[in-house]
Amino acid sequence: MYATIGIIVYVLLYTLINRKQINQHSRKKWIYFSLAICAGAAMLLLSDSSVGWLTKYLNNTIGDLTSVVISE
Amino acid sequence: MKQVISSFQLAIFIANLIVSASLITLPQILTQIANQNAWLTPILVTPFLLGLVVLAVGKGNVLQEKLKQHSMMHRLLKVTVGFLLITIYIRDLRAFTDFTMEALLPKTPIVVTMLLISATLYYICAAGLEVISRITLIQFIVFSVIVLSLPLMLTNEINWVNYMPIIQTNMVANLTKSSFELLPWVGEFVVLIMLLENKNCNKSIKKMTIYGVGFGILLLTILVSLNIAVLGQEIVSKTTYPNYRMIQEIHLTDFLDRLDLVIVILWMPVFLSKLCIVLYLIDKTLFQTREDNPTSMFLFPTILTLGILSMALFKTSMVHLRFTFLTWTIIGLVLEIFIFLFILFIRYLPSHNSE
Repeated sequence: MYATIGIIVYVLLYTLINRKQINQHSRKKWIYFSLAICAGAAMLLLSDSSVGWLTKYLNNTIGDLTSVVISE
Repeated sequence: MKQVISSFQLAIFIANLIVSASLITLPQILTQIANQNAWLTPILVTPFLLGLVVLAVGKGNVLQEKLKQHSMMHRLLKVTVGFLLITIYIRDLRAFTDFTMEALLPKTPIVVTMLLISATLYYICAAGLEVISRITLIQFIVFSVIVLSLPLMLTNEINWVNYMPIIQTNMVANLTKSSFELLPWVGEFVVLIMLLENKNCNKSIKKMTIYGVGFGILLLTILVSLNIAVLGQEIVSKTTYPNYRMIQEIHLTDFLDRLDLVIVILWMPVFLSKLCIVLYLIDKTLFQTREDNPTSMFLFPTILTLGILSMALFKTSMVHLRFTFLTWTIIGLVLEIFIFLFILFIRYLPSHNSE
C-alpha cells in the first residue's frame, strides 16, 4: 500500500515540477495520459493476482510447449 | 543534437547484451538440459549467430542508409523491436531485483528495491546515449578483466573430472535442445539495429558486430565452463544463481575470503548499463520523435509502469524463473526471427519500393 501511495505521490510531484515543459510538448495529451496510466498501474501492487493471470496463462501454454521441446 | 557512438562502443554494447543477463540464471537450465557438456552450447551457437549477422548486416553501410527511410516495413520493425525490448526489460529488471534481494538486501521490501533501481536507471538514461555508452565502456572493461582472470582465481577449486564423460548417448540431442534455449538469449543483441543510425560512420559495422558477438560468447563460455568445473553438474543444475555460488568458492588467501561481494558490486553496474540501453531503446523506438532531446517526456512514466509490471506480473520468483526459462524462450525466439526477416526485407528490397 505504501508503495502505491509513494508512486502516485511521485508521479504527481513529477507532473507539477515539469508542468511547463509538458505543456510545451507537441504530444502533451499523450504524456498526461501515460502519467495517468502509470499512477493507475501502481494500484496493481495492491492486489496480488491482478495481472498474475496473464503470466500464469503464458506459462501454462507457451511455457509447457518449451518444456515439451526440451524434455523429449 | 544527434547522439553518436563509436564502432568500439557498439561492439561493447553487443557483448554486454549477450553476457550480463545470461550469467545470472541461464547456466542452471543449460546444465539441466545438456549436463556436463553445457559449456559446449555457446560455442555451438556462435557459427549460426555469425552466419545470421553476415546475412542480415552485410557490410552494414547499405542497411544503415536504408534504415533512415520510413515505410510500413520500418514501422513493423520498430513495433516488433519495441515489444521484444519491453519483454527483455521486465524479465531482466525482476531478475536483478530478485538477485539483489538474495545477495545484498534481503530485508528490504522488493518494491523498494525496484524503485531504487528504477530511479538509478532514470537518472542515467535521461542523460542520453553518449553517457550510457561511456559508462558501459568503463564498467564492461573492468568486468571483462575479472571474468578473464576467474580461471586463475579458481585454479585451486577446478576439478577436471567434472567434465567427464564428454561423449554420452544423448549428447547431440541434448546439445541441440540447450542451443535452442540459449539462442534467444544471445540473439538479444539484434535490438541494437535501432542504434545503427546513431553510429558515427558507416564503416566496420560488420567487423565490430562480429567482434562483439565473439567476445560476449567467449565470456559466457568461460563462465559456464567454470561453473561446471568448480561446482559440478549436480550443483549447477540445482542452484538458481550458479555464478554467485561459484565466486563464493574463491579462496585466494585467508584475509580475502569475501571477494564474491566485490565481484558482485563490479558486475551490478554492467547489468544496470544493459538495462539502461534497453530502456533508452524502448524510448527511442516507441516514443522519440525529435532529435534535440536525448530522451522523450515519456521516459519517466515508462520506467515506473514497466517497474510496476515487473512486480505485478510475477507473483513469486518461481513464476519469474519459469517465465524466464520456458515462456520467454519461445516469445524471444519468435520476435527475433520476425526482426531478422524485417531486416532482410529492408536490406534487399529496392529503395523505391520501401519509400
